[in-house]
Amino acid sequence: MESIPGEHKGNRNKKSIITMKSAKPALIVFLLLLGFISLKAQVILSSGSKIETPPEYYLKVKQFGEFIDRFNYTSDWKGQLITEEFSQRVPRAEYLKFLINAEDSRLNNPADSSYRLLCNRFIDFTIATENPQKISLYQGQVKAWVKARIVFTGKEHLVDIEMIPEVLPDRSAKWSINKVVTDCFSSVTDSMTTHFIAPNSHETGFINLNKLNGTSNPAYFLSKGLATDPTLLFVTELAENRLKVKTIEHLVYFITFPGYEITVEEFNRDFSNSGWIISNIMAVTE
Amino acid sequence: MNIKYIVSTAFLGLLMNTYAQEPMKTAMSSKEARIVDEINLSDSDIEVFKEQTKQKVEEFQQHIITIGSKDQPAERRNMAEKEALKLFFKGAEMQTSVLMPDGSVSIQSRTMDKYLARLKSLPYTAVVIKFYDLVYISSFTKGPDGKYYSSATVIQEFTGFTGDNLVYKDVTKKEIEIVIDLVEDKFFNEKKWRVFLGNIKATETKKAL
Repeated sequence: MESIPGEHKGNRNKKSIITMKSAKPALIVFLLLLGFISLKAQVILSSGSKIETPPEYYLKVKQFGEFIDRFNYTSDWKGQLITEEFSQRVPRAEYLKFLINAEDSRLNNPADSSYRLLCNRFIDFTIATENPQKISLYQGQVKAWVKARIVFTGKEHLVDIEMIPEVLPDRSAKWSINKVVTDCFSSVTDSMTTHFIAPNSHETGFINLNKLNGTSNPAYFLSKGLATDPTLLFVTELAENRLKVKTIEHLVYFITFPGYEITVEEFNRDFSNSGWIISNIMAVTE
Repeated sequence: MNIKYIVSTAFLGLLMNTYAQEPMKTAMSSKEARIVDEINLSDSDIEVFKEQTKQKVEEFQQHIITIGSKDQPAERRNMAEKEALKLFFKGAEMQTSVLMPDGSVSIQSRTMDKYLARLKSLPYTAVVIKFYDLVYISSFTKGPDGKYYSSATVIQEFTGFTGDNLVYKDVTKKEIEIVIDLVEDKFFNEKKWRVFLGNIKATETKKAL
C-alpha cells in the first residue's frame, strides 16, 4: 500500500479501526438497537398533529451543514452542541465512522483492504490531537458540483456546474458559479464560421468592430479559448434567453484536506447510515 | 469483532434519550473563529433566530394541517391559507412529490399560493397531514443583501382517504429555505428582524406503511 500524504503517525491510543469484520456486524448491532428504539417510538405516538420522530431521522444527516457540524464534532445527533458526556461516550473517531457510507463494497472486500486502510488513515489524520481537521465552508475547502437539466435550443441537456462558496468584503457569503462543463454548445462554436472579424481588419484599424453592435451573440467574436469556454457560453446564452435551467438532478460536494479529498453525497435509504455522508475518500498529492 | 466499536454504537442509540448536559464547544483556529464570527451571527442571536424560525415553521405546519383537513369549515381553511401565505416571501415555491405505482417519484414545483389552493381540493374525501416533532435548523449566514439565510428540515406524513379506505400514504422530508430580513415596524417606527419562509424542496419521499 502506498504511503498516504498527510498521514498522521501519532495518536495511536485513540486510533479507531474500520475492519472488514467490524464494519458490518457493528452496523447490524446498531440497527437492532435502532429497531428497538424505532418500535418504541411508533408505539408512543403523541396526540394531535405531531408524531414522535423515528430515531433514524435523528441519525440521518439531514443537511450538508449538519454533515459539517458532525464532522467538526460540534453537534450531536439532535443538532445540539457536543457535551463532555457525549464526547466521552462517543469519541470523535467513532462519530466520524457514521459519516462514511457503510454500504460501500470496498469496506467489505476480502481481497482488497486498501480502502479500509485509507478510511482509517483519514480518520486518524482528522482526529490528530496536534492538528485536528475541520471543514470550513468559506476557506476554499468545499466545492459543490450540480448536475442540472437545461433546455437549450429546444432540447434538454445535462450540464455539470461547479459552485464555490465566496465571502464578500462585507463578510457576507454566497455561492458562485465557478465552472460549467458541457458539450451542448457545439452549435454556437459552429456559428463562429459566419460571425467573425475578417483577417485583414487590422489594416482598416478594426473599423468593423461595429459588427458587435446588435449581434445575437458577441461570444462569437471572442478568441477561440474564450468563445468555446462552456462557462462563458452558459452565461451568454442565459443572458440571451436561449437557455433555461429546468431542474437539478444531482448534487455532490468535494472537500479537500492536506493530502486527502472526500466526496459527500446524499444517500436516501431507510437506516441510520444515510443522508449526507462520505461516498469516497481519496488520497491526493498536494 | 471490534468490541469498542459495538459498545460505542450502542451508546449512540442510548444517547438519543439523554440530553441534559452542559454544552462544550470544540476549539477553532483563530482564523476560522474570526471568519465564522464575522459571517455568522453570535450564538445568542442564533438561538433567538432558531427559536423564531421553529415557531414560524410550526405555524406553517399547523396551517397546512388545517388547510388539508376536509372536515374543517371552509372559512377556517381559507383563513389558514391566507395566514400561511403571509409567512413566505413573495414568489416562494413549493416542491411536491408523489410516489408513482412503479415506485418512481414524480416531483412538481408550484408557487406557494397555487400549492395551498390545490391542497384544499385534493381528490380525497379526507386528508390527514402530520409532522414529525423534529425540526432541524441550520446555522444562519449573512447574504450579500444583508439578510440572513438558513434552512429547516421537516418531515411530513401525508395520508389520503377515499371513504374509509386509505388510498395514499407517504413520508416526505422537506427543506425549507429560511430568510431573516430587517423590516420596518411602522407602529414602533423601528426596524426589526423578521423570519420569512422561502422555497420548499422535497428531498426524499418514501411509502409509509
